[in-house]
Amino acid sequence: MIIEFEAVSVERGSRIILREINISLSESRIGIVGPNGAGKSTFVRLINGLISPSAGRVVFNGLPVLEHLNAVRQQVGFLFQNPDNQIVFPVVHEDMAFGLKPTLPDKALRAARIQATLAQLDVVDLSERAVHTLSGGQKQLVALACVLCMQPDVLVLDEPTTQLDLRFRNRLLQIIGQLHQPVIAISHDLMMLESFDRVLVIDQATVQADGPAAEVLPWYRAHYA
Amino acid sequence: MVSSALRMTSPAQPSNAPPKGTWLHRWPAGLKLLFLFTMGSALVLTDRLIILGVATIVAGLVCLSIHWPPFKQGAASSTPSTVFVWPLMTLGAIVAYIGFFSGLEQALVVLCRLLALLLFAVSVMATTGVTAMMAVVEKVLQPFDRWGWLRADKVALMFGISLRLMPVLLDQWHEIREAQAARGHRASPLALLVPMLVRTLQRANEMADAIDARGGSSRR
Repeated sequence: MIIEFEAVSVERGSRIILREINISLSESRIGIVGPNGAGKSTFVRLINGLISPSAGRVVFNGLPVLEHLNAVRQQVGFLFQNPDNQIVFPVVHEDMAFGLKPTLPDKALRAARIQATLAQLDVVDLSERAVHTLSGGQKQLVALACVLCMQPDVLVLDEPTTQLDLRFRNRLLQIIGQLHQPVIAISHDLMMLESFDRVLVIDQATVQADGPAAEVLPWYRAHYA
Repeated sequence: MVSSALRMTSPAQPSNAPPKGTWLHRWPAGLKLLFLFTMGSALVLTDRLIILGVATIVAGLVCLSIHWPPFKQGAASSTPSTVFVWPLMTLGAIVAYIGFFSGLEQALVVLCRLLALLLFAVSVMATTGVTAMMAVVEKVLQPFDRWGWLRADKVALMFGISLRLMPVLLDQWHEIREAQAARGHRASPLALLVPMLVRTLQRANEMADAIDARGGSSRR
């Protein structure tokens, strides 16, 4: 995976959210930290074209994102902070089927993929459950299952543990740790990022620090605590 | 694969859904929706109490046959008090209003009509998957799609999402009401509606993002 930000700026009215970001992402585990409202979510939404840059461009595995939206979105799995906004169908397996339908029209293959993904996360028993009867942690696991069943090449996680209790947080982190796909995660949970290959600190519309977690996280703690 | 050390069965929670494989589950979704539409139209068109009474009994039997024994799971979430309290209270208020102004017979006509419709609708909804219903909606709307009047797939998606959002919006309503009560405010419609509207619009925006992220192109 190679994601390149080429002189990317994002402006909303007179407010500059990101300013001339030039960066290349290729590590297996990349963490993003920074204060609230610093532009972290905007940064990761550029990767799959949910937000368009005001200037510059983002290139995903050689494909300019805005010119190949569908292809890029099939390769980038995106886990949102609030699973209630991500799960759009009332029953778990129906929601998973929704994402798969365009790429996997065969019903039997779709059902097999859904079962395999639920088994991977050890939540097969949730398949027939109504989403509104699930706990917050279960919903986040289901949202992750919805993303994983599409077999993306890379996973983008926007504060995935924010609404989870300790039990589900640990479970989610272990699952994420065992994924073979590269992961880009925004998080305020610095312990989660300690094992990551690279951490970016985004603040004041730009990347303030960039390097291995062992170097960047102590710097971040010292400057932002 | 996730290691066995991670295995953690989700707590067994009973669902409100009736057991699968009832006779009504085996009916095609299109037939069930056609039946519901026809029955709804017929119940609205007739004013004869005897017909409406029979329809209510039949609807009750249909509902019981798929939920029998009723509420057997016994969870708090599936007790009659929580599942039916709001629809029944609303129904009671409507019937009391009509009874007061138009008399007992008219109130019974309205009661039977609404109760029969409610029970038939509950039976159909409880035994039909959303995707199956969406497929029917999409098929029915195909001619309009061909004439360019609407996008059948989008309308079907909207139908599915609206079913998903009902409990979410209800929770949101309770949250806002509790937050305002905690700050000592009495429930006023305006004070509830404004944050409700704002949060619903934010939610709609995030949901559209989520659909787009999965390649669904919500905004096309």
